[in-house]
Amino acid sequence: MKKYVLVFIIFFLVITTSIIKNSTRELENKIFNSNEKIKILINRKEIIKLQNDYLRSPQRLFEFKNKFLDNLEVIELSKFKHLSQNE
Amino acid sequence: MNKDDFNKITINSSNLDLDNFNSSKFKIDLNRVAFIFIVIFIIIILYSTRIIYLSSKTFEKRIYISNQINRADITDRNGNYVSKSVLTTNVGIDPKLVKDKEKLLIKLQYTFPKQNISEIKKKLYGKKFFYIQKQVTPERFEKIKLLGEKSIRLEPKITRIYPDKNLFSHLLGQIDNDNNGISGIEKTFDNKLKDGRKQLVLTLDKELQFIIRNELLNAQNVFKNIGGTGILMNVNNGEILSLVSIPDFDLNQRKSISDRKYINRATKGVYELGSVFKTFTIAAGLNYGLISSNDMFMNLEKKMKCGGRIISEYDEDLPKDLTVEDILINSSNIGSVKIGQIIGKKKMKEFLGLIGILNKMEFDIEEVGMPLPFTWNDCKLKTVSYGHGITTTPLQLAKGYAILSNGGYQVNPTLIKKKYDISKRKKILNSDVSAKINPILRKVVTNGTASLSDVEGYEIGGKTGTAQLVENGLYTNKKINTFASVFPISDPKYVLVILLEDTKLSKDYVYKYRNKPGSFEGTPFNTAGWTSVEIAGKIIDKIGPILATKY
Repeated sequence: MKKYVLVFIIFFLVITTSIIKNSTRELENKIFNSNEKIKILINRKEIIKLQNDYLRSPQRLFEFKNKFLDNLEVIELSKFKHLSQNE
Repeated sequence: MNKDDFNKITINSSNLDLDNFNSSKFKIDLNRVAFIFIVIFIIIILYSTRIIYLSSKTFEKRIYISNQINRADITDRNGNYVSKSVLTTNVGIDPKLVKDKEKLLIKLQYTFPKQNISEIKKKLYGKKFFYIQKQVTPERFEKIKLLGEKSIRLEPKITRIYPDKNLFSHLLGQIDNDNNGISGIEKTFDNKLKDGRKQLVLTLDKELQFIIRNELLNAQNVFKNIGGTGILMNVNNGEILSLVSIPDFDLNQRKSISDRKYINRATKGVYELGSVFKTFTIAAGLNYGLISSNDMFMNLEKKMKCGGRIISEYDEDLPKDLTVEDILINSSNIGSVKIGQIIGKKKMKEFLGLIGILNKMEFDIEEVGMPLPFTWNDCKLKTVSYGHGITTTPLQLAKGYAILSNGGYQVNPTLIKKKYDISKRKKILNSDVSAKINPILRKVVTNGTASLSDVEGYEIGGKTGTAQLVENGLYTNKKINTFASVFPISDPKYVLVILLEDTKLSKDYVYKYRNKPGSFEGTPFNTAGWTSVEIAGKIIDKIGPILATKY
């Protein structure tokens, strides 16, 4: 009888282990898929940042300045008024 | 159950029909039970085997849908991309798989309106695979996919993009078609970049780089120089905020650059830089305690012989008696020679070696020039004292000025952002060298040859240098105009070196005086004071507010 119980326990453990392993793999797959989705989103973010970096690069801003802000004047440093704490 | 009860049990034999007992019927019932049990047992075994089999199986190969780019990006110090790998697609057609060629041509005409359709038609009726367009944008890629043509082959490809085109061309370098860095940072840090895990952060600032490049290009329009360079470096930690060399090139075009005019003048260009070396001569004298700022040199001759050549003053009206300070402010050649003779060959060589002028420097890119070696003799000591007969790169010049002005601490110019412990700096010069040399550099700007760069509020100090360009071992009439500046001089933070190669006089350019009202039209002399200094002033005008507020 003891032998049967032992065999049953071993069999039960093998089956349980297998079930747990299978469910773990499913979880791992889900994690993998989520990581892949995150990577895709990161890639997308990087591409958008690249576009943003290009669009707001000094070169582009100077082009826009020359195109739309032709009358913009640079104020000389000497024209700034120094304010003391009492003023 | 007691014994009496047991005796009461009787068996009614009439109920047992032992004669007619059908043992085979009983066997069949037993077999049915056994059969059902075996079937259930087999099902359990099958399912168990299946579960065990599934669990014992190795993980199947995963399908990666995110792009597997294996070259890390490069950013400037503020996180702006300066070099980035993106996944692009090459579009080609296999003519053998095309069912309806006319229909496909109409589709292609719609999708690729800029392509030469007659050319495509010619290839379409051939047999060989051909590309319609390389590196298509994601938008067009989607359009092509919607065509649903089996003959169209889409080949994914990793492309390196340089969003700023020419801006960092001499520093970033290029990669070949196999993703190997072949020049610049792309080459030096090839393994690290291929690892792909972490972005490479540079010390450069895109905005400062743009401003300095823009001003150098403006200078090229005015002074018609064939090239130039600008270096902006932190004097305390060696971080290079900007390094520009013109002419430059667009990295995205992936052209093989072999023309010498495109060399990186800041690191690879080896020049005789002239009077900017006088600062080193005086600093050497101060470092070894052989002179002090107020020492007077009496009755300085106007001319001096050296190996069959004559050394003379640029300005013949210079007074005969000059202090050490006056010698630097007025850029006296003879005065510098006299100081050099006091220092002597051995100590002069030792000092220039100490501040990294004489040997090839270690840097983050391979394109580094080697100062020309020479033999030290009495005449060489004289010429070296005022910056002739000795060569170095503009970056080494910037390094030298950084060491002189930062309190005498060793500085290693770098392009890579990293943690830097300022307390672990190595002191290589005496403490009082900076304290003595910095005020003199300031006077060169306020009273001397660099007044056009005296930008209000930034306390610029510096030294000009005008030298003849050496070509094929011979001096030419072409000029190398250099200005090495340090600011703010009361607490030096930055060194800015501007070098213009082969400048010409400009008739129309209008100079606005900085320390007095009025302006001046036309370049009177082809010297650093009228070219490089003017450009340095314009640069500091623009980068000064950025440096003051951002750093």
